[in-house]
Amino acid sequence: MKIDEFDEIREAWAQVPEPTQSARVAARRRLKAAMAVASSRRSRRVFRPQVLLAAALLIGLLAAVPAFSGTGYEGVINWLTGDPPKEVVENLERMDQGAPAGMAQHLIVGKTGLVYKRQTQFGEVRVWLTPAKGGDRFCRSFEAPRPDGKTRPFTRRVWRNAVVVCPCGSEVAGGASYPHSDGGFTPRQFAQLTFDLLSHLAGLRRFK
Amino acid sequence: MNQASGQLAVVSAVAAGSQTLTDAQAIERSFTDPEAFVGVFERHFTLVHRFLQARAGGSAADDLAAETFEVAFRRRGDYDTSYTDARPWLFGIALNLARDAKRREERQQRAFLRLAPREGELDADLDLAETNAGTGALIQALTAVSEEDRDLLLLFACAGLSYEECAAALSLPIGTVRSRLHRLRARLRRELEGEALEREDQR
Repeated sequence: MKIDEFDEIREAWAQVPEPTQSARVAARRRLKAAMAVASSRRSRRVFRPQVLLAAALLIGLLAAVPAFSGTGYEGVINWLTGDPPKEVVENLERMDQGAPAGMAQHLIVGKTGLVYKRQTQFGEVRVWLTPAKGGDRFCRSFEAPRPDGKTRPFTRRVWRNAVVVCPCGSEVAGGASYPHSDGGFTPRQFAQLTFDLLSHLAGLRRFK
Repeated sequence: MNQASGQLAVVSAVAAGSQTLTDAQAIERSFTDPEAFVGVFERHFTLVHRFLQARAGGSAADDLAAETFEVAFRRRGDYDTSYTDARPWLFGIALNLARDAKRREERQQRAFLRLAPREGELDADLDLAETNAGTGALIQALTAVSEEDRDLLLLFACAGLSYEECAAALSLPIGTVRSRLHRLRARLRRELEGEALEREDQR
């Protein structure tokens, strides 16, 4: 008969009792507490890349646009060359039609300039800015493709007073302007512009 | 192989939800879904607890086993997912915790004796301090070997780990594990033969 030298130890091991139910429950509770801490850390971490992305985009815009460097909105308007498409011009010209007395925007359509252009999976997205007479207001126009061919603009995720222009048709969502007093953009205005754009793109994704 | 080690030899697979995950997969998944780690706990808690009963005593085992899985969860980023079975890793953590606990207890005992010195109070082998009927027999069987060999014997003969797994758990080269086990076998064989001769002489 073959003898295993460890048989005696194995026999003794077999007598070692299993943990009690209370020990198991206490250990599980302790592990769950550690997991809860990890989960809360993780949920905080999930937000971080999005914040970083938004911050990077904002910084990029701030750095790229001359208005922020103190050159005034003329610099913004001329930041990129190129004239707005017919739909944008028409939209802008319609802005003051039928406006009640004192509510007209008095936009200088001829000075409209492109401030943002990006190729997305839906096509090219562009943002135009148009100054108003008196130098205290801007009108912004989003130009974006529509996946469904309908003319209703993406007003759900766009600020109420934004103008959305689509290649397949255009529609004014409301009178639009950013107040400004010194001919340049404030960081807050740029933050709002960035937020609008991100919201618009998010809306497009959902629409798709 | 006895029943306990037979159960332990089963390939590591954790039932989590509708899918069957290995330890490595469960640990990997726990980075996005921490609950996946519960599968590792459920499968290995009993074994780790029994190991710690033998290693550190009955009452300490509850706390140490719980701490083992808590530490394992926190340090799961260190786990090498190329190893499917997490037992060697868990035993490595359990052993470190048991050694730390023992050192702490020794320090406390020494401090206590400095305050109230009484001869013979300090237990030279704290592993034997807390036993119950179940662990007593095992501890008696292990008294003859050194502490290091005791860990190895528990992992190999009791927990059912392979040479490689013992080496991983104890952070030793596999050659050292082989030679130690060889020496232990030879020694135990001599003792068994001596006992057999004694019995024959008594007849």
